[in-house]
Amino acid sequence: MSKHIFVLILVLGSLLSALTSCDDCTDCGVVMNEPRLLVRFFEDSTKTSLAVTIDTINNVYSGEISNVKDTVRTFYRLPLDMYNDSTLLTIRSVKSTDSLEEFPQYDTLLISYELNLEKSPLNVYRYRASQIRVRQHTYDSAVLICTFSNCDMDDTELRLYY
Amino acid sequence: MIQNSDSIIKHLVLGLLLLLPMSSLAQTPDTTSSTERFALVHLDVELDYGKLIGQVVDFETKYEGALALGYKERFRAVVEFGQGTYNPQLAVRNGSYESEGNWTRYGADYFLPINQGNWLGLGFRFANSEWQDMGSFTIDSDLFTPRTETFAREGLTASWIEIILHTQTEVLQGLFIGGRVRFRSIATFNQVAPIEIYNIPGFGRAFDTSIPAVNLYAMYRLGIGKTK
Repeated sequence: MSKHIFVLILVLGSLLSALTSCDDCTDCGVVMNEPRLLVRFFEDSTKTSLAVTIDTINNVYSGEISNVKDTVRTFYRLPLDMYNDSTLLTIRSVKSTDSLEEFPQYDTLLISYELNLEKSPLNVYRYRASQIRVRQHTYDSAVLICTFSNCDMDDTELRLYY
Repeated sequence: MIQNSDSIIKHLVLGLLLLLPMSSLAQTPDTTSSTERFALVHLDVELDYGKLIGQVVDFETKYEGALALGYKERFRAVVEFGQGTYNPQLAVRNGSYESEGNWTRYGADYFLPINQGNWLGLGFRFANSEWQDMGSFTIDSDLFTPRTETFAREGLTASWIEIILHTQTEVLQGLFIGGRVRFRSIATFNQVAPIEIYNIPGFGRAFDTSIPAVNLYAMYRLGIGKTK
């Protein structure tokens, strides 16, 4: 009888160990580490959503992203500089109904923010931007929509009007 | 994939460990007479062989042992000590993390002889751990310079309490193997920010305040004197 108790406790203990030593999730979806700001494009005259082709996104100190010209979007997530509290971008774009070669549009956008380090539930460390403000722009208009007062990047969108 | 292979290895090891005490039961010596007379005092030396076999996984290295002074083979005072390094790949998914430290547990056990060299026991421990950790992470960017940060902390401490259930069997004269299930609960521990402590050496993951654990051990008992 005691032999059975001994074995039973060991079996239960080993099972308990195996069950509680869970593995972390290794495939839990897309993880975006760098801080980004969601922008949506609108037609200024009609205030309706606008499909835009972004050709390049340029920062004078860091170079440019030029591989987005085949993408037609009504929104985009602009990268923010992790070493500074503001980011100045030059964006070359065109309305999807126009030709990029004939009607390219060059705009600049200066955004300020605060960066805070945080850990995601997947144990990814990243910088979160909050207190987002639009300091300068050359669009027809730009409206920042903050769901909460701290204008956190996950709850904020910037509406750019062409 | 690495985690899957680690998991397979872990379960294979557990399976092998289960076979050891089972096979030993068939060889349990007839100690009917010895169960009627116990050592008056005894010194126990333990080695946690489960942790030695656990070296096959590539994310941790741990050693643990214990010394105990007992009376009539029923009561004993115990001190356990261990040392370990831990570098889980998923503690910082966009970087690395490693902790290294020592732990000590003090406590007492009461054992009840069942028959023929088999024992059940109940015990408690007060434990503390001191360690250091270090690591780094990198945040990539499509446009801007990637940002890399490093960190290193020393003098980290935690304490906890444990309730323990033991089971052990005497396989040779004075040589025991056994297993114990521990139920741990944090007493003092301060998480730090922004890089969180992932692992407390001797306890486990830092985000669990109460966790179970299993040990498998071999023990040699040196008895002095005889009593009923």
